[in-house]
Amino acid sequence: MLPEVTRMRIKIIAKKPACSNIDDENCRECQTPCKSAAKTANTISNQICEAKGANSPWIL
Amino acid sequence: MLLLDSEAHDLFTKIEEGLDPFSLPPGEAREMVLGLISEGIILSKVDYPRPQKLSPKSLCLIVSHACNMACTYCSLSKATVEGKLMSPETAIRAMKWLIDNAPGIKVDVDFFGGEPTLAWNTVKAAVDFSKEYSKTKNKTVRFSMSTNALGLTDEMLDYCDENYISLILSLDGPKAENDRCRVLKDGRPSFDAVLPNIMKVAQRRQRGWYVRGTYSKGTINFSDSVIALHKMGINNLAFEPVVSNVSGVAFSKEDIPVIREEYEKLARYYVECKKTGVPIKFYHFEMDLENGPCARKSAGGCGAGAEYLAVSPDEKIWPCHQFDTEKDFCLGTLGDPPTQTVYDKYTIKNHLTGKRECPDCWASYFCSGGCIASNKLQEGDILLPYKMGCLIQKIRLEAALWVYSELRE
Repeated sequence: MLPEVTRMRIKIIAKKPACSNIDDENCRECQTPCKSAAKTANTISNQICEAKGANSPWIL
Repeated sequence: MLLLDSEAHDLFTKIEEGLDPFSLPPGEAREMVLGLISEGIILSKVDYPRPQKLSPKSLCLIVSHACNMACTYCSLSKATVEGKLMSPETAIRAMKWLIDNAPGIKVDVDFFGGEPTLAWNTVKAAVDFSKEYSKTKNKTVRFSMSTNALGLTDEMLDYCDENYISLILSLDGPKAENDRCRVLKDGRPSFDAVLPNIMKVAQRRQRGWYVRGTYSKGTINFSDSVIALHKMGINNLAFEPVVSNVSGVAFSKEDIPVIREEYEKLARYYVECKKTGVPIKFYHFEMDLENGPCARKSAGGCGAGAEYLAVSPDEKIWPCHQFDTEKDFCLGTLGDPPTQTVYDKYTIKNHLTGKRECPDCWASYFCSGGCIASNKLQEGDILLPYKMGCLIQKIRLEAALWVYSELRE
């Protein structure tokens, strides 16, 4: 087993989202989750917010 | 991220189970919990906004129903027999529709199949058109292509480099593991045929590519596969569990302890590489909790039918590539595209709050309810989470968070 830390509870900081564009309901900067290396919908956690400035001509 | 000791972990568990934090006796624990509540860090509720307008952003262009391989687990095996290719004209119509209707600046396109290199002229037509047309609409189009690499020529690679086409290269591990399911049309193994092309990509690109593998019951010790490929010089890796009902391929609950061990073994290897400066990217361990998706995104589901759509060679539009040929899920055609009503339906369906079992799960904001195609295949309902997928996702997330905590210093 990995150390204790793997069994931590995860608390979502709902009022402090990573992306400051939360108020812009039509923000479409970052990738659609399934459009990714894994070609699976289970990839939201692996994305970054592109509205904050992360920008690249590469999708991956 | 809050790292909890055992005492705090037990306390938070009781609160999750219904203990009223205001009933806690005076002391350090009560102060900590009430402080976190007042800061909105725990037990906060947010009404996540949903998109109000037509919102296509990403297209999967299924440019080929034909393939030059015959992998035994292929979801398009029936379609492969039909072998239709998308015409360049259809691809251009699809791109024009996407660029015209996407509300945002960035739009994304993945060329998919079958095997998309078999429709190379269509891929080029779509890219060449989009580059020019997007300028007139002030849009940016980014491309990717999912390929088995068998027919990937130097000319294709040059074109992909020039046009920033990211590559998702299918390979299930070293020779023995890969060749269990990934075979050529005549049944011969594929590893020796595809590896040289994959290594070309690995050697010429720093980014813009991943090797994407699938592991199944027969190749459950997938950490060995990932590590073996990494030691061959393949630094960008993503491995996914198979979604199947086939005996000998599909996972059962008895496999979960083994899968947990595999992710933990891989996590240790990954951290060791990172700490010693050895380049490696394992897609599912690449988390950034500081710069991750916003709450709206995290609750918005996989995007299928809402901002992500797939177009097949016959110009039909589907919620995603996995619904291709599922007649009941056809959303329209390029000549008769989905309406606002269709978008509304999928935006609501695919939102976290619309899924029956997700809102109370700790992992829900990381997976956003998972893959609706897997839900349908395994549970018979796009809103019922695929249970085995949930178990594996949580294990993977725990490993990824452990990696994050180990490396964040």
